[in-house]
This record gives sequence, structure tokens and C-alpha cells, in this order.
Amino acid sequence: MLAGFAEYDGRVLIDGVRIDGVPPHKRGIGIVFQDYALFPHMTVEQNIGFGLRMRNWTASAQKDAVERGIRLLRLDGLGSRYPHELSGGQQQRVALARAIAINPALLLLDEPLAALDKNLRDDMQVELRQLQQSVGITTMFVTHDQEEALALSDKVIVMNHGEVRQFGTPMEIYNSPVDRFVADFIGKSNIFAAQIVAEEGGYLVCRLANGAVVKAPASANAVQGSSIYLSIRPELLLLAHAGRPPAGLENRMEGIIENVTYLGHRSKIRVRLNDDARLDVNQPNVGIGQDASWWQIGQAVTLSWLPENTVVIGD
Amino acid sequence: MRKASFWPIVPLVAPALAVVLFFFACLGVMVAYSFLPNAGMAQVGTGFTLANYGRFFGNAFYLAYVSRSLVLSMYCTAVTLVLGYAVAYLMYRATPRMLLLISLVLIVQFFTAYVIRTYAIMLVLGRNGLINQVLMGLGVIDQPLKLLFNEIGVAIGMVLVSIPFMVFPIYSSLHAIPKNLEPAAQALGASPLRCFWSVILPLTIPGIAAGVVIVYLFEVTAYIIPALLGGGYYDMVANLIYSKAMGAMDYPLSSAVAMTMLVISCVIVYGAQKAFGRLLPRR
Amino acid sequence: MGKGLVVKALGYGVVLCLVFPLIVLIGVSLNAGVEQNFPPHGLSLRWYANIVNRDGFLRAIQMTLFLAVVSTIWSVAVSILVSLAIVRYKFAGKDLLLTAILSPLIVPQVVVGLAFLMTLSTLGIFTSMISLILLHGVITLPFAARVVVSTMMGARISLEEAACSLGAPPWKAFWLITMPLIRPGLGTAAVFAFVTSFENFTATQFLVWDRTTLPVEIYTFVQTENDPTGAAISSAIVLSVCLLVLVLNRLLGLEALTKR
Repeated sequence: MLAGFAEYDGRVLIDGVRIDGVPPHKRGIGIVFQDYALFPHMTVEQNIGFGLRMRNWTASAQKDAVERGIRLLRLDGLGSRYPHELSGGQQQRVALARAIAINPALLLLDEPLAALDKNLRDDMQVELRQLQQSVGITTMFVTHDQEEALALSDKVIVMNHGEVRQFGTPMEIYNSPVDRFVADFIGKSNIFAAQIVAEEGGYLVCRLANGAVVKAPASANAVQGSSIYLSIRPELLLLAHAGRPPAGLENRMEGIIENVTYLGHRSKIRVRLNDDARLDVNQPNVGIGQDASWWQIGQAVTLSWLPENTVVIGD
Repeated sequence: MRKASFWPIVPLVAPALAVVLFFFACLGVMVAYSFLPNAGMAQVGTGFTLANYGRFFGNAFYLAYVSRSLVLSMYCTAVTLVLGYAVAYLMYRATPRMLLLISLVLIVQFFTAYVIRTYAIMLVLGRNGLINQVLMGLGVIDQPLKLLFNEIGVAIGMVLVSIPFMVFPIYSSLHAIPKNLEPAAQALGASPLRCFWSVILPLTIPGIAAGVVIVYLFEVTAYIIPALLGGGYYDMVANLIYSKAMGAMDYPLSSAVAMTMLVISCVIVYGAQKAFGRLLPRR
Repeated sequence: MGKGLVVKALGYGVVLCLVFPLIVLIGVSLNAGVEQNFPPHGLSLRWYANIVNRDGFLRAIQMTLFLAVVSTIWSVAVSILVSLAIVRYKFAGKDLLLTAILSPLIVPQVVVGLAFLMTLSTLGIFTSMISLILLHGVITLPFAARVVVSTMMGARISLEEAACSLGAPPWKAFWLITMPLIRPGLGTAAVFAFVTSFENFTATQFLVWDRTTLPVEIYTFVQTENDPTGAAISSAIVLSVCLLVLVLNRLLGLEALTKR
């Protein structure tokens, strides 16, 4: 739609200028396709220079620009290779160089890292962010990887079925999701239906479905008696032996450990509450050996957290 | 894929559509001829009639052409299947050099006109042809065998000419079998023969089906092979159509026969799709 | 292992049976005498020289080559257009169109020939040039279209979109990006169309009013005369085909040619 290949309703503006009706080849948007779409019958140099040839640049200007692109994306020595002779990461960089070479008003990256393996993807994330900041082109990055979205962006748009759900900085999106979809989609959340029973000392007092009463930070549009949802991030919950929660964490719930997944730097623990609801807790694995992780399946535990770490969402 | 925008596709589709429509119009004219009364010398009368079909189906002499085509082709297809499978299997097992060589031979066959290939077979089978010379030279026979201008000649020609049609589909389904299936079957205790019957053969059914349909269709409708190798003594349906149209100038009768042949072809293709469609292994 | 050997022997035997008649054909064409003997009695190229003496063969060669070239260009061009519609657009009746384009493949050649004869004589067209151009234009299309459509399916549209996003107008994107990528497929399609036209006999024989083609001329010669001139021209074609196949093997690879 942005690139002009699909029909759509509505308007697209770049720098305040409407570009609907402008054919794709005149939009001047740099695109990195999911499958890179490198021209298999052209060398790296020819690929990078393609957009410049279409703009009828002089041969020497083309050569300079291509060389700049090659240097910028560290493709030195690969200029005369064909795409199939390159690794996935190299192909990715050629696609980027090609898109940047035309000096686009906007760079559109359509899940460019999806095809790379995890380690390479992490490296490319850092590299992409640095590159984007050094060339200073407004970049739109489409991804299904939530962490990637948080890591790379100044602003994130969360979309569901073509509808914008939330727009904000990565921190806003993560810490104050506007609805259950965003809360659960960007990172995992434990979400409870609750009812506001009172407001005291700057906190909302809420009763959950299982009868537990917890506190949450007051928000302007919370009306006493209304139904709301509470979201608590698994890493903000503290796990303790039953009846021995640390002092100061006011919100509490009792439960039994149902499942433990060891993930190296942390363990994901699923706790069954007394009303059969499940709750996920992330506990960092600090220390080596069995003692460091005392939790066991079947153990009775108390979960506790700070009222400030509860997020109130509308629905 | 872009949406159903009407105008851009018109110029793209128009020429192909014109070809297709012209082709079907020609078939339509032929259908019309088959229902018009014959006026002799390539002329037709007016008015709808079923007389041409009556003349064809009411005449045992004409119907013999049809049964001859259908039955002989069945035997020939069976033989072609066995021989074609042998070649395909040979290619499947062959070294790359040998595979290239056999493929070259088959493609040369493909690209050489039927007339020429049939004529070449004619030279081998003739009274003074090589087979008779060799057999007589060896003293196996003292009279030349009659291998031409009869059923045997036509059958030999049909099999030889249609073998490449059988080999390629079977070879490509053999080629598609994962290389580790045979070792896997043998590791589970299957003997090589058993392995062929219960693993390789079932997986090549799509190729066999395609080959059998193509070959049977080709043989039922063959013209040149019976014309040259049968020499007028063993004509088949296609020859009947040609001689009624070009010899007797009886356009309506030959159209009726051609219509029958067209229906038979469609039934073969459609029937094979139905029959083999169920047999094909799901992947 | 005994069975494997039997299958192998059978396979080689069949391959030999396929090659052998062509060797006999070439042998016969080299006879010094008028008999069609094999092995040839004395070697000579006189029957090859004799081809030139027969005006019928020369005119037939011209006609056949002309028809093959014209119908190949036509069919490949039409196939490119229709494959773009089929692969890149959604429209009603697409499957039907493709089926219709391929349908001449299951109609027997003798029926095609008769249908053309009926139609053209009804229209009062008794000129072989026109009739055969029409016929060959129709019968070569499915062979070309089948290859071109599957080739076009393999040409990713995202490459053209990439070219467009870099500033290439759509026609230029097609010409610079898709065209070079589908060229081998077009070559294969052209070969099939050419061969289909060149070797067609059964349908063509219905329309040879004032001009004939090479297969028809060879057939007539074989039916009516006995000297090795027919073997000579046939051998010449077989040898050209061998040459063509070797060249194509170099250019396109055999894989492309076996998917007929």
C-alpha cells in the first residue's frame, strides 16, 4: 500500500504530500523485501546501481554511489559476485544498500530479518539501528517479532487485523498497553478480570474473580464499581515459599507450582491459583546448582508484587 | 497477485482467446457437418439428420476399425508399459553419462517426425529388411517372414514409436522418489524384489498413469503407423476418417466417425483422471 | 540381483531397438545403387545430391521452415501475453481458459485436420499457405503455452516490484528483470513449438491443396517411389535433429527438454 502495489482506501502522505495515485516507480520509497528480491542475473554492483541507472545518473556518479553503498554496508570485495554466491546476511546488506542508494524519502523494511538465523538476526538488529541513525532516513520496519520492534524503534505501531491498536515509544507500549491484545502481544502478560471496589490513598482496590483483593495505581477514568482488567508482567512477580512473602510487596496471591521450564538465564514457572486460573512467573536463575532454584512442581507458593507494577487496562 | 481488473487483462488474453475460439469453432463446424445429409463430392444438403451416425454405427465393417484400434492399442500399450518401465528404471539406476546418452537418444526420437521414424522401422521390417536377412542368413527361416503390411508390423511400429512417451513420465516419478526410501525399506528387511513391488512401484503410479494415458491415446488415434506399416491392409479409425474425407469425399460420414473418435478420446482422458485420481498416493 | 540384470538388459535392448532403425535409415541413404539395401551396396552421396533435383522437396523444405518459424514466433508471443494474465491477475474463468488453451493436446490430430478442412472449405479458403498458417498457429500454442506459463510462475513478481520501487517504469521492469529470467523457458517453448510444426503430418495432410510440407512430401515419396532419395532426406533431418539436440543440451540442459 505504502509502496503502491496494492489498492487501498484512504490517504498516504510523505512530508505532508499526498502520494496516492503516484505509481510505484515514482514514489521514491526504498524497500527491502522480505525475500530481498535481489536480481539474480545481476552482480552486487549492478543490483545496487539499478535505481541510479533508472534515474539516468552519469556513469561516474553511479560508480561513486555504488562504492559508497558497498563501503557503508561492508560489502567490500563482493561487488562482482552474484546474489546466489552470497550468504543470507550479505544478501540482506545488498538489499539494504540498493534501497538506500536511491536516497529515499522513506525506507520500508518488510520483515527483513525473518529469514536469518537467531544469532545473525541479533547482530543485524544492532547494525540496522546504527545504520539507520547514521544515514538518517525515516524508516518503517514491519515485523512480527515483538522484541525486534522494541529494540529497533523510536516509535512502535501495534496493529491487529489491519487495525492500529497502539502508537507510542517502545517503553510506553510495553509498560502501559492500552488493551489486552497489546499487553499480551508485546511480551507476555498475566491478565485478570477485576472489579474496582474502592479507592484509597491513591490506589484502586480491586477484587479479582477468585476473591483476592489487590491494589493498582489510580487512573483518571477508573470509576468505582466498574469492571476492568489488570495486567502483571511475569518478570515483576516475586515467587516465595507459601506464607513467607517478603515485606513491602503488598499484592499477594497463593498458588501451587504446576510446571517449571528451565530457560538458562531464567526459569518460567506456571502457578495454578485456587480458582484454577494460571499465572506465569519469571524467576532469574542467580547462582549455579540445584539450590539456586528451589522451586519444584507441586510446591505451595505465595506470589507478591508492588501495586505500582499493576497495569489497569480498559478491556 | 493483482485483483480482477478487467481492462489490463483484455489485451493479454485476447490473442490466446482468439486461437481457442477459432479451434472450437472448427470443431463446431465439424460437428455440424456430422448432422447434415451427404450430397457427395464434398457437398452437403440441408436439414438435420442422424443418418451419418446410422451409416457408421450400422455398419459392422466400419465398426471393425474402431474395435481394431481400441483392442490392438490396448495390447500395444501393455507392451509399451513394460518396455518403457525397463528403460525408465535403467535411466534411474544409470551413471550420469549413461543417463545423458539415453536421454539424448529419446529426445532425438521425440524431435524426429513420426513419418521418418515409421519409415525407418519399415526399412528394418521389410521383405528384404534386416531382420529377414539376418534370420535367413542364420538359417532360422527359409522364407522371409511377413512383418510388414499386417497386424504384426503395425503393432511393432506402435510400440517402438510410443516408447519415449512412456519413459519420461515414469522416469520423472522414479526420479522424485527420495533416495533414502530404498535403503530404509531394505533396512526393515525387504528384499530388493519386495522393495520394488511395495515401495518403488506404488510411488511411480502417477508416472505410469500419465504414460499409459498418453500412449493409449496416441495409439488409438495413430494415422501414419497403420498407413505405412499396415500398407492399407490394416487400417485403423484415423485412416478411415482420412479416406472417407479425402477419398470418398463423404464429409458428413467422416465427421461422424471423427466425432466418435473425439468422444472416445475424451472418455479415455476423463476416465483415466477418475480412475487414477483415486489410486494416486496422497503426499 | 538376477532380476536387476534382466531389467537392465531389457532396457538396453529397447534403447538399441529405438536407435537401430535410424542407423538403418542412414545406411540405406548411402547406397550406391537404386535398391534400399542395408548394409548399403557401395557407398555414395548421390541420393543426397538427388534431393536438389526434386523441386517438390525444395519447395516443401521452404514451406515447412516458413511455417515452423511463423508459428513459433506467434505461439511464444501469445503464450507470454496470456501467461502474464494467468500468473499475475485474478479473473473469472482463468482455469477454464488454461484448460481450453491446452485442450488441442487431447484432440486427435486427424480430427483437428478434418475440422480445419471442413471449416476452411466452407469458408472457401483453398490456399495452403493461409490454411497451414492457421492450423500450425493453433496446434503449436498449447506446447508453447504450457512451458511459458510454468516458467512465468517461477518468475517472482517481487523482483519486478523491487525494480519499480527503485524507479523503473513497469514495462522497463518487465524487460530488464523478468525477461532475462524467463529466457531459457522461452527458448524451450520455442523449440517445442518449432518441432511440433516441423514434424506435423496427420493434420497437415488435409490442407495440402497447392503447397506441401516436408513430412507430407516424404510420406508421398515413400508410398509411391522406391529409390533411396526418401531415406536421404530423412537422414538429413535425423542428423539435423541430432545436431539440434546436442546444441540445445549445451544451451538449455536436457532437464528442460524432457518435460514435454
